[in-house]
Amino acid sequence: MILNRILYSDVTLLDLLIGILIIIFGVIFTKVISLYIKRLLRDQVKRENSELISKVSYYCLLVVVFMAGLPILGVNLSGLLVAGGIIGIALGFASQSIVSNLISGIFLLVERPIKIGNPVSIEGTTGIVEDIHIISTTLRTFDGLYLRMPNQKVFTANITNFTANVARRFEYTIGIRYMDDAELAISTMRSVIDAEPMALKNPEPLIFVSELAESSVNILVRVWAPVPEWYALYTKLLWKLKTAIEAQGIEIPFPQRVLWSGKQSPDQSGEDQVVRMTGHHESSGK
Amino acid sequence: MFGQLNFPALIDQNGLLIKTTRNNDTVLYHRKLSDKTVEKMIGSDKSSSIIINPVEPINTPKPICNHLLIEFEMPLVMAPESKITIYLTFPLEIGVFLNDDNDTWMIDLFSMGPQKYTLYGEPTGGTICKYWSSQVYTNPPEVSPFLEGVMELDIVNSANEHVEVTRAVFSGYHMKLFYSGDKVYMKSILTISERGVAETKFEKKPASAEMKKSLEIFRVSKINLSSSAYIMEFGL
Repeated sequence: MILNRILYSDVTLLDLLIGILIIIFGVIFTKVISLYIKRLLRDQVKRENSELISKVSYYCLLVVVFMAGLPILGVNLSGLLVAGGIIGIALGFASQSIVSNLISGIFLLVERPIKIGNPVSIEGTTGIVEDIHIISTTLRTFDGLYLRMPNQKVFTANITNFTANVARRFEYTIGIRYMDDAELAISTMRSVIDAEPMALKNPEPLIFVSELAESSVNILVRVWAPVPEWYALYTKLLWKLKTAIEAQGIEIPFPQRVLWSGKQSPDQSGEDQVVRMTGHHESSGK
Repeated sequence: MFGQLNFPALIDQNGLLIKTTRNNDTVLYHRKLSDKTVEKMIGSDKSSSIIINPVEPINTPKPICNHLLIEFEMPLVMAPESKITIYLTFPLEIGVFLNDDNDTWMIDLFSMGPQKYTLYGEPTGGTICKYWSSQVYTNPPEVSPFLEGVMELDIVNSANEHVEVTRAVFSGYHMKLFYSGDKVYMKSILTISERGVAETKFEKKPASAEMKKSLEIFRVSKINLSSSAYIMEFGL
């Protein structure tokens, strides 16, 4: 019978078909199982953990499938281990960057400086971590582009993870006129911040005069917010502060220069003339 | 206000308006509070009532945290190996549930009081909590209905030294609320094991038999290997 025809070693055509079918169906079954595990854990654990569990189970099952199928195809696994030494050295030189990326990927999954869904900056490149594969990490930049980075580069780079901690601080510098009441400005801004739910009560917001600048008295405002909400608060709070202090009659000045001049003509009394120039353009209305 | 209300339902008190009207197979839900209006159309030919219950006060304005931190307006110093009972207030959040053949679905959630969040611990590993400041009472206080509830808190100092308590943090996963009329009640225990470390947990029994248990929206939906107590490890 044709199926009993020996192709190589002790492997018949039937063995070859069975081996290939085991591997093909095994790979499909492994994929289905890992997807099922991911779906099962979706509502139970965080996304990065369910992805990790799904990946680990996928690769473990894949190893089992190949260990079941390869002996049927005549591949002697124990023999491979013995012969693998020399081949391993050769492969190692040929694939050192791939192996390096693989090892880096494993360490990334163990150390977890970044997790799926984290907005990060890696060597100046910012984006959201879409997935951490065994060889590379994929990011989605903030303008929606797909970015693939080799894991070795990720692992050895300076990584800034914007959401690794639970709270984050941001600050504004708001200048007011020298003639305005800084204490009133500070108390007004504090009332606005206290009324804002996402501005954390603790650590307490800091508001203080930080600089007597050229054109203004600068007030520094530092606010802590929960990491998922900090950007929304950061984008809306500044205008609220501005309108609140303006409602108190406090203005944010334009850049200013004060010009001092000497006597203009001999018949003048000798008083110096002062001209204050600001960026404020008054409409003459005439 | 709390309890089951058959259609058509109408509540108009303390600045809150809730109205439900049925129109054939649909129900129109309308809620107005201050200047905010919420309307929903519900497709259900079976629902005949809504349930209004107080719920865990950690969901508004956004469900970003799982814990409630109550700061004592007056610090409390506990003698070594002592136990006392105090009363605190806590903020109320009100849930409106659609009642369908013993299955309930939350259609609205609101709060009538001020909202604030705080951080318990450090930014690196602390916990974001809903913040509330309360006076410390020795007897159950009178509170503003629909704004505040009353928490009976047993504080046990099992350490052999004095401990000053300025706040208590509670997990939302195991909160048990009870109500009777417009009054809302919780009972919890704060056990101090050593200076700066304590755990809080909730009692499952109401203050009196006439109190009903409120619906819970904060169910344990994740694989949770921890106990029902919350460990306050960042200080008291």
